[in-house]
Amino acid sequence: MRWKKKQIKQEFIKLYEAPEPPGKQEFLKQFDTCYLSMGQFMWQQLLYIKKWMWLFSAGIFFLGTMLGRNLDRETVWVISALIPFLALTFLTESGRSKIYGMEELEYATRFSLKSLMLARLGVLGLFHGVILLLLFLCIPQGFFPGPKDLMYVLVPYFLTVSIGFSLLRRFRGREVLYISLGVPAFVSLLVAVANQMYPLYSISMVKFWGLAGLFVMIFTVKETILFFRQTEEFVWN
Amino acid sequence: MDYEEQYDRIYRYCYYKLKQREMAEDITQETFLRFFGKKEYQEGEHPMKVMYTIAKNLCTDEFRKKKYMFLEDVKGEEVLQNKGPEDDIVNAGALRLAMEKLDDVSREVLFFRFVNQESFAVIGEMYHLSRYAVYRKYQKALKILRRELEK
Repeated sequence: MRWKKKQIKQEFIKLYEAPEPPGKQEFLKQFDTCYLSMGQFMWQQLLYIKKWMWLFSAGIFFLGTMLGRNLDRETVWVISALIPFLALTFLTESGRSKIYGMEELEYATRFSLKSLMLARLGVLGLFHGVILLLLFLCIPQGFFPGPKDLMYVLVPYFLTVSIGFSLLRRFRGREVLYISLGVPAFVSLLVAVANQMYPLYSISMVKFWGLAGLFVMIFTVKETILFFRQTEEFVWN
Repeated sequence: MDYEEQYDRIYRYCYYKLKQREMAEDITQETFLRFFGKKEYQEGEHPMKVMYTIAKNLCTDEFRKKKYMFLEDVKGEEVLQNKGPEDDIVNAGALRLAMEKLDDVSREVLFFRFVNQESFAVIGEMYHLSRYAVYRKYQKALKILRRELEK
């Protein structure tokens, strides 16, 4: 008789089939509160993000689409100047523990500050990503000729996040709140002033945006790594 | 993987080692208590590997303590298990005989793969072998088993 692998497996399972353990449910009751799946964890953290952050982000999106209706090459900077305020919510959420001076306590909790931050910022970042993409697509039909103009929305956003992370690592307490509010305002102003001094949105500046995009991405990745490294538990703790 | 699934896997493993339901369940519960008693155990890369190791050590301790009692219980459990159609009993007997040709590690590798459906990575962690070494061992064991069954 020829034995196939599937048959051997079935016979094996039958041979080592264990009877139902009678005390399982009773025993596992004591662990009921401990188990949390990844989906449940993400959902739980999503609920901790304050409502005003969602509303504020949605508000920026609607303002962007309203302003975007009558844009041309001369006034497109308005959208770029608006985007840093979208990152404001991201920075405020990043520095929430520091604002209230709770970060050291949260290093040692069951779900460390790092995992909480990763979950919350991941969800918020995803939401912002969708908003940026929609904004890019909604702004006057055909006005942005190609993906290169995506930089008009990405560069201000990531510049705000990277500068914000860089400063958040160095401060705590109320200063964090001022940084979260000040950095977007600074980047927004920077875009407006730079636009007055140089023709940033002309066709000849495509290379500038490409390089700026690359630089800002690298800076953001570096700052994000350093920022999250700081949320890890201290070695001596 | 949730706790119920972990419990079932550890219980099946203990039952495979001890062939006695009450003892297998006691050891499963003791494994859980020890595993959740130490934070370092839970933070490892393969928590199942840690649980299997605890269960294996506890089973070995039980073997040492109550050697003779187990031999009698094994017989009893076997009789209980061999209920069902005649073909099943014949196949089970043939498989049991073929399994005797394998070494302990190969038998456990097959058990982990077939019954508990563990990955080669977890099995490898338990025996300090690479995934490829476990895979080769698994294939070799299967080949021996098939040869013995077809005799």
